[in-house]
Amino acid sequence: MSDVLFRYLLTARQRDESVFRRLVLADEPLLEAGVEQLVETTAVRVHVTSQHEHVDKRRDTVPASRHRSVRFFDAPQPRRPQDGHFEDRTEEFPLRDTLQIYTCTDCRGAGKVRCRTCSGRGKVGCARCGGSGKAQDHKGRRRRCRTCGGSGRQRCFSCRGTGKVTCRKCSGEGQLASWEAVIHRYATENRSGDEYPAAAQGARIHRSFKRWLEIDPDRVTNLERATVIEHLGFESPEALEVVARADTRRRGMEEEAQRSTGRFLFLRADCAVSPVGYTVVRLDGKPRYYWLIGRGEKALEVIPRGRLDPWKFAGWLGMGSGSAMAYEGVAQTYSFAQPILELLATSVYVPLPWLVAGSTASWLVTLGGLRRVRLRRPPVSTVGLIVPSGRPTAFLTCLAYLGSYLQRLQVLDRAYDAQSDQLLGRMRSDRQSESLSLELPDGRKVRLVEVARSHRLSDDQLRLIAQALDGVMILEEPEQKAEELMERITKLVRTPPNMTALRIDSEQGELRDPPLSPVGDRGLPLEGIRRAFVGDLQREVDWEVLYRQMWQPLAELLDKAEASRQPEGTKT
Amino acid sequence: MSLWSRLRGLFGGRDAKRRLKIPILGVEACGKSSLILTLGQFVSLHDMGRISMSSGSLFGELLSHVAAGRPLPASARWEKFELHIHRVPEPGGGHSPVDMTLSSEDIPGKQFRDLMDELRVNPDLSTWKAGPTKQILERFTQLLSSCDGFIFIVDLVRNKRAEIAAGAKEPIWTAFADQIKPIMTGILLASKMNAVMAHKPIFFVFSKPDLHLLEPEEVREHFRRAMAIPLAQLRGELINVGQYNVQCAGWEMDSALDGMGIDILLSDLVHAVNAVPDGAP
Repeated sequence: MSDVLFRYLLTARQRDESVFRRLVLADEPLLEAGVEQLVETTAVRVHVTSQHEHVDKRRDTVPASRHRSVRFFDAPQPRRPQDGHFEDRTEEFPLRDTLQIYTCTDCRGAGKVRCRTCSGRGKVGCARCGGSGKAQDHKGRRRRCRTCGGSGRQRCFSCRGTGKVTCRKCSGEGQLASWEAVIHRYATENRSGDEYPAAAQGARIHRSFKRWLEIDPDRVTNLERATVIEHLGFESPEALEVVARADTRRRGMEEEAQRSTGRFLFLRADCAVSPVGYTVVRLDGKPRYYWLIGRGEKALEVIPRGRLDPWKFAGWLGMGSGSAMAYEGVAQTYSFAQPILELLATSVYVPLPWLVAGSTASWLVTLGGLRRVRLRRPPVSTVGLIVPSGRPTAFLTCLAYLGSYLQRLQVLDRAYDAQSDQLLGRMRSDRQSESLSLELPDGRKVRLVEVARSHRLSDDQLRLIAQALDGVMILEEPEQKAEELMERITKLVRTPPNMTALRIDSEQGELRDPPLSPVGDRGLPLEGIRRAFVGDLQREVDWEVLYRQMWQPLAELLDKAEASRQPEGTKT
Repeated sequence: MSLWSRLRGLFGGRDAKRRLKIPILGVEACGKSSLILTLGQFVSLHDMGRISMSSGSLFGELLSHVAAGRPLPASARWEKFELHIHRVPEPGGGHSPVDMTLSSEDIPGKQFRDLMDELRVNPDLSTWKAGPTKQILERFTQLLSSCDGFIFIVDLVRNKRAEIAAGAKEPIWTAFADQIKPIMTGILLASKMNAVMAHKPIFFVFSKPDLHLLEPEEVREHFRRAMAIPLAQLRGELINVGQYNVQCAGWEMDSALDGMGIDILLSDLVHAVNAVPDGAP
């Protein structure tokens, strides 16, 4: 299955300064169609927030006594929001001059009105006997109603027999107070809009998912050219065209905000700029767009609307599932496929990390463009461990467990089931690659990718893999020679990565006594280390020495990679 | 820890009375209720504190089963219990005065097992759908974020007694993987979402030493090796795993119901949450 993966998923990374990660399907028609040309542009989100003041009048009427608790004003004294403080608030100003006190129109100053229940009579029909004066007793005989005493009438429960109730309008006071109040309402209005490249017309670029915003939360307060270019990290005519269009749109929104109803107070315009890259592939004369939004590890791929090839999409899913099956076992396949199937069901977009996560070999693809990406964080160094023609080794597992045990490193991958299975000797032997992400105590992050059976890789595949790596460590078995593979890589790649070799011995299942100082002519006995770590508690093993022998060549490779990444003037 | 207790700790000094909430987690029949009972007995017998009035009925019920020679029944609901502790044993001998209330909950192991099974299949909490397991998860998450530390009980001999007795090491690692790894994954994920998890001590208690017959040091070393990767990850998330204590609590009930290793567990637990006042021996 991994062969299928390598055949279809390869990185196409150029040695340029692109901020985008590139993922293409590198089958031959696509490669011939020139997918390596990436157009760098931008998407701009414009957000205009404006503050308006709405002034209204309202007449309030209350019972006369209550006006004493009201604070009256000679004139409105609004406290308008300070510039830049967007508030939603309401202020009321009862005007003293408009205050009037007059006799209640309902009760005409009496404070009481006629009871509506009894119409002023003070009596209503008996509820028990219904006005007949007779009701059934407990034996069913009709007797004189005890409630009304046989009269059929009882006292009104609303007015208690008086025939009058308190006037609700004036609360019994007989007088009303009325005044006019001026109301100042401060409301914030929001207007937003997105601008995309002209080529995005008809493409499905989703604006609603949150990650788009999280990718680049930095804001620019205006759309000056220099600011935008600095923010994007590149300059392209198309990007500047989008920015200019967004600027026009911003001005339109600002004018619209100023024309809005209510008194305009002030506004603020925010713009979020997100780099967008796309590549156009012409297949059978029809253009197909592949979009990348954002930069770095969180870059997303967006599927073109109506141009999605279901077979291709199914192929992606199959590759993801298949690679997971190959590397992490059938049980993990379903857990891995779950989010992808959910995404398929929602059919909104396919985030690239989800698409390729879980597939260890696909790290090669996703990391292909990272080496030259300008990240604000320290870049992740990627080292490939290539086993020339043998089976997969336990190197990564031993390194992960020994490093964690000795507190020299931290494994970043959450799913360490594969490592656990490998340590217990339950790993499938038909896998071709495996990866491990580590964080070192100094904060550096390293990704190690082991590729076994490298003789199966074609020249193209090996070249692209080598280009994606910061360093290559060849795990050399006693009967194999690393020089041959090194020469092959050197011939294939114009600027080959730093390379080194470590002798290993996968066959030797026992540690020597005293163990491993020095490694000896047979090489590092990975199987012996694994077995000793799992079961042999009694034996005194110097794990520090073993770990150092595994880590030392990697550390040298990483140092070289960092040195080559530094600018010329800062090299030490 | 509430804001009030934080302020009280700031202005009232460390000798102020503290209320510690430390839930006890573990799969069914791993010995959670036994640990609770033994803790209560230990504290009472050695004049280190007392069981709160509200927890008396729970302890009485558990004791009645032990007195009748019956195994403790499976917990069916979330039982709360409290211990008022006024002194704790020191590893080097002697006692340290404390003034604290240890509050915990006996959580049904079946619910914990269901949760772990779900975590094992789908470790990404954000994708969980509504349902009974999600409700349990929410309750656990609330419990974990509001507590001061955790006690995890691990049953090493679960279904593998004969193999472990024969000297096989793989069943021990499998027990770690089955019982600890899912909940550690859950803690790591929860800590990503909730920073309150940081600096909280985690105690792993390995029960039934009379059945697995392994020395405490041997269990500790196996645990350190098998769980090396998640332990390093927990350290990276600032979860206080440096304070965890792996001790065989020893549920071999003698006449006094005095468990082995309880003194060390209690001492480490109190020290890990800084409940011992300054200047104590």
